[in-house]
Amino acid sequence: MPSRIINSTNSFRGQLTAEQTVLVARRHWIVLFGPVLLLVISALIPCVIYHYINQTNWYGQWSDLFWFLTTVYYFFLWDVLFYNLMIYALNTIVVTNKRVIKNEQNGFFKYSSAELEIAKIQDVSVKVRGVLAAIFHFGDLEIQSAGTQNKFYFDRVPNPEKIKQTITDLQVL
Amino acid sequence: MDILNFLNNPQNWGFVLLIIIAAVFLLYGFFIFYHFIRFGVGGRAKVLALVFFIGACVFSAVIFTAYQKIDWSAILQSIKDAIPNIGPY
Repeated sequence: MPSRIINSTNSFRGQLTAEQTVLVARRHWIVLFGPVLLLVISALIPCVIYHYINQTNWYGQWSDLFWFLTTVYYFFLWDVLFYNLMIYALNTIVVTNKRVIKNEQNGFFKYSSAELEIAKIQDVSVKVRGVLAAIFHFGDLEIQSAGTQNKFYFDRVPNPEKIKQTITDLQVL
Repeated sequence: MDILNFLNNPQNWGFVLLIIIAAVFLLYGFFIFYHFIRFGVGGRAKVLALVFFIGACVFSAVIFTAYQKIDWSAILQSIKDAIPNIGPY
C-alpha cells in the first residue's frame, strides 16, 4: 500500500527522520494567468513608444539611451515575472506519511508554515466553484483536525480530489 | 570639490546611473534566487532559480553593452541646446 501512494522523492526543510514525502502540491497555474498577461501587455509598451518616436528628428541622437532604458525595463519585467513565479512555487502543500504541511510565502522574507498530523485529521472536504474550476480541475481543500489545531484551507489547488484521497489513504495505513 | 569635478564630466552621470541600477537589480535578483534555493521544495524551484540566474546574466550583459553605446556628451549637449528655446521669459 505505501509503495503505491508514495511517489514523490522531494525533500524539504524541517523533514523528520523516517518521514517520506508523498505529495507536493502548488496552486493551479491559472493563478499565474493574470500577472503573466499583465507582464505581456507591459512588455509591449516600449514597442508602442518606439513606433511613435522613431519618426522624430531627435530620435537619432537619443536612440542609444532609448535602447538602454528599454533593456533596463525588460530586466525589471524579468524580475517581476520571477517574483510572481517565486510566490507561486513557494506556496506549497506537502503531504508526508506523518504530516500535512502548509507553506505560505507572501513576499520577501514573509514566510509562514503550519502543520497537521495525519492521525489527527478528522475531515477533508473539497469545494469546486465556478465554470473555470470545473474545466481546469481545481478547487478548494479544507482539512479539519481534532484538538486545538486550526483547520487548514488551501484555495485553487489542482486535483483536490486526488489530495483528499491521498490523505484518506494515509489515515488508513 | 572632488564630487563637483566628478559630476562635471557628463560620462560620469551615466556611470552613477548604471551603478544605482546595478545595485537595485543585484539585490532584488539575489533575494529571488535565495528564496528559490532556500525555501523551495523539490527540483522545480531549483530549475526556476537556474533559469532566472541565466536570464539575469544575459540581461546584465545586454544592459552593459547598451550602456557603452550611449554618448552622454551628445545627450547633455542636446539638452543644453534645447533649454534656450524654452526660456528665459
